[in-house]
Amino acid sequence: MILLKTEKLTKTFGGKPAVYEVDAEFEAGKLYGLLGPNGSGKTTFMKMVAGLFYPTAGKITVMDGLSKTASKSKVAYMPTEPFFYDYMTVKTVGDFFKDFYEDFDPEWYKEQIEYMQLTPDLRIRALSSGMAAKLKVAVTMSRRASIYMLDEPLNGIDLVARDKIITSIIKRSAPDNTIIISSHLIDIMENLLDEVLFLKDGRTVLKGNAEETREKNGKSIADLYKEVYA
Amino acid sequence: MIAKLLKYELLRRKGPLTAFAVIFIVLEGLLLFGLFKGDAWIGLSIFMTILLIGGTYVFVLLDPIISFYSDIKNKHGYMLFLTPVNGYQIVGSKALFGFIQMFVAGAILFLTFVLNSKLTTHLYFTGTEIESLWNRISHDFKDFLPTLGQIIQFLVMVLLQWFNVIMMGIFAITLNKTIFSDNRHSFLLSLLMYVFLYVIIQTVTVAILAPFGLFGDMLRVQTSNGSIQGSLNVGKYTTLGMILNAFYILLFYFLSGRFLHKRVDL
Repeated sequence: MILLKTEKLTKTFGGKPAVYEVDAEFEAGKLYGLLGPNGSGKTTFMKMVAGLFYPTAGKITVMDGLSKTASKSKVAYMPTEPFFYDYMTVKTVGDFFKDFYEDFDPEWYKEQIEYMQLTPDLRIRALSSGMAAKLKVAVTMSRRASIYMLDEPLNGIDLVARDKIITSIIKRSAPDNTIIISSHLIDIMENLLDEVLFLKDGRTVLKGNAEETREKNGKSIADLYKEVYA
Repeated sequence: MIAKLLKYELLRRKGPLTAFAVIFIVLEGLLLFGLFKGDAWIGLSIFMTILLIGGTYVFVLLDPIISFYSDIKNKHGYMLFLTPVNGYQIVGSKALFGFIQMFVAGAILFLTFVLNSKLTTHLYFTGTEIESLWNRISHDFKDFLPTLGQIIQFLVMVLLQWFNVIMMGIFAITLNKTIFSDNRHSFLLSLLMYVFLYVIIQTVTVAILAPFGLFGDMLRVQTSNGSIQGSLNVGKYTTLGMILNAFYILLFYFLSGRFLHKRVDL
């Protein structure tokens, strides 16, 4: 079942394309890697799907063609930047999500913040960048969404926390949802990915099943990445 | 959803609102101190009165605009804009919060001044002095004193006019974000757009009021030596003012909501 489809999706800034005519389909039960260096269009692509950017041209279809507002209740997007209000605590972040998203699971969130070694009374303004990154993953993955989009979830994370975040992501993977991850850290992510989509200067340069891509090219995704973007 | 948006707007504004309340209490305390001390200290009370009115006016106008600007400019706004609510609901909640804040602040200010005037009367006047002063005002200015209905009409118009300023500010910010997206000078550009919108609105208002005799009435006020009551229908202008301001508010609300929903890159 296709949960997300983009057709000739394009976004330009000042006439320069950040994403250009990207056609992609994201199926349920799969974990996708949206790969490319900085400026390749990964974040712009995700922000358009999340409804933060409007497309210059092309079409985004979420599930059966949900409206922009309705699709936000099915898409769980985690931006790469910290995005919580300073006045909040770890607990009020959970309360906020519980109030606005019907699919939010408070029990899961409670488990996740314990697992991430965060405490409910921690103030957002007092969080280190690593703690904020863990909180972003914890709250996003506590939704039972149909589409998860995680923009650079491993940025600024130490080795121990990386494993926790990866475990948290895998735990949420299910036959009825799709997870899209953008990351520079291909060698770490490679074994998780079912499908890959390489973006370069906003255009699709390679897409397909990760295993088939490896077999066809006779090299790992990480090596292929180095070759494409060298 | 609007109730939930208002709840988090209140939680978010807790800091500035508390700071405003503390400053208000300190200024009112100084005002009362001046009243009790009397003589030259009355000057302090008058100065505090001006600060209370001016400060409240600036706070209720700027606070909702700054809050909206902060959400649209900074990444924490993603928290709000990623929720499954549309642009109209977001703008509506910001505007409604601003309106409630304006109404509550106005009511507190009014009650404070009722109490202050009662205290002033108690400290410096006798009951008969006030009564005779009121009788003299009623007699000498009977042609000029407005009725209760006119006062209410005027207050509603002022409230709508203030609210219109807030909505115009919200629209200027949305329009700037729509056209220029991430610009380093977004605050300055929003301010320029606000001034531009203000000039347009004033021009349109004058053009609409002209067929209702605006220029003739202005000429009569200038040449009347203060005896125009009866021939000048002030109620006409307050009624038109209410209708026009309500129209502008709805227009800015609709346009801001639409742009935010369809055309803004956050």
